[in-house]
Amino acid sequence: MYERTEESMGPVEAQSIIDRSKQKVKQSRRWHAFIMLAAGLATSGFFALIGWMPRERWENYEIFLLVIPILIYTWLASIRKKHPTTGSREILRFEMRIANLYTALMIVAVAACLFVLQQGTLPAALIGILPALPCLYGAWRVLR
Amino acid sequence: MTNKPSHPRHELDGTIHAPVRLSIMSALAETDEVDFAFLRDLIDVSDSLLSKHISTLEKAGYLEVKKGFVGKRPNTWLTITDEGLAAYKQYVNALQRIIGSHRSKQ
Repeated sequence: MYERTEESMGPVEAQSIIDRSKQKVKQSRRWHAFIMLAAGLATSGFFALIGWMPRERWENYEIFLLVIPILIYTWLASIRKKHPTTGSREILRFEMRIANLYTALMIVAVAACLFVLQQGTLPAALIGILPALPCLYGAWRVLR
Repeated sequence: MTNKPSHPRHELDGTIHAPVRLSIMSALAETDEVDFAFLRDLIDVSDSLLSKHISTLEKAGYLEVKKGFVGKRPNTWLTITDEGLAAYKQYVNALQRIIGSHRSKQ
C-alpha cells in the first residue's frame, strides 16, 4: 500500500500522477458507458432474434432463450462489480433513471411482442430498439 | 536575494504538491464528485492517510466533504471547490512550464 506523504516529487513524477488519476476517472466513466451500451445492443439483438424468427421455431426452446438475458445481465453485473465507479451521485442518479426507463420500455416491448405484433415480422424484430434507446442515450451522455 | 523568484517551481502550490494530494486533486478536477472508496482504491492508501490529506485540502478550501448514506451505509463524497480548481489549474500550468523548460534544455 502506498504510504508516501510529504516527500519531494519531481515534475515528471507529478505529471504521471496527474495522468494516472485522469485516466482512472475516465476509465470509470467508460465502464459506465460500456455497460449501458452493451445492455442496449444485447436487448435489440435479443428482440431481433426472437421477433424475426417465427414462434414455432423457438417455442420448444423458450426456457433456454430465457437464460440468455439472465446470463447477459449476470455478465454485465460482474463487470460493474469489478470496475468501481467514481461514486458520483449525479451519475448514479442518472443511471437509475435510465434503468427505470429501460424497465418500463422493456415491459412495453414484451407486451407488444406478445399481444400486438406478429412474430416473424420486421416490427417484431425492431421493437427491441425501444428499450435499447435509453441505454444508448445514457452511454452517449456519460461519454460526452 | 531580494529579487522576486521567477522560476516556475516557486508557483507550485505546496498544498497540492504531494503525491497523495495531487492524486486527489487531479481526480476531482476530472469529474463532478468522487467518493472516498474510489479515491482510496485509486491512490492505494490507507483510510487514515487519505483522511489526513483530505483534511489538509479541506482546510485550504480546495475541496468540500459531504457525508451521507447509500442505503444504510454511510458514505463520504468529495467535490473540488472553485478555489481548488483555480489552484489546481495554476499548479498544472506551472508544472507544464517546468517540464517544458527542462525539455528545451535537453
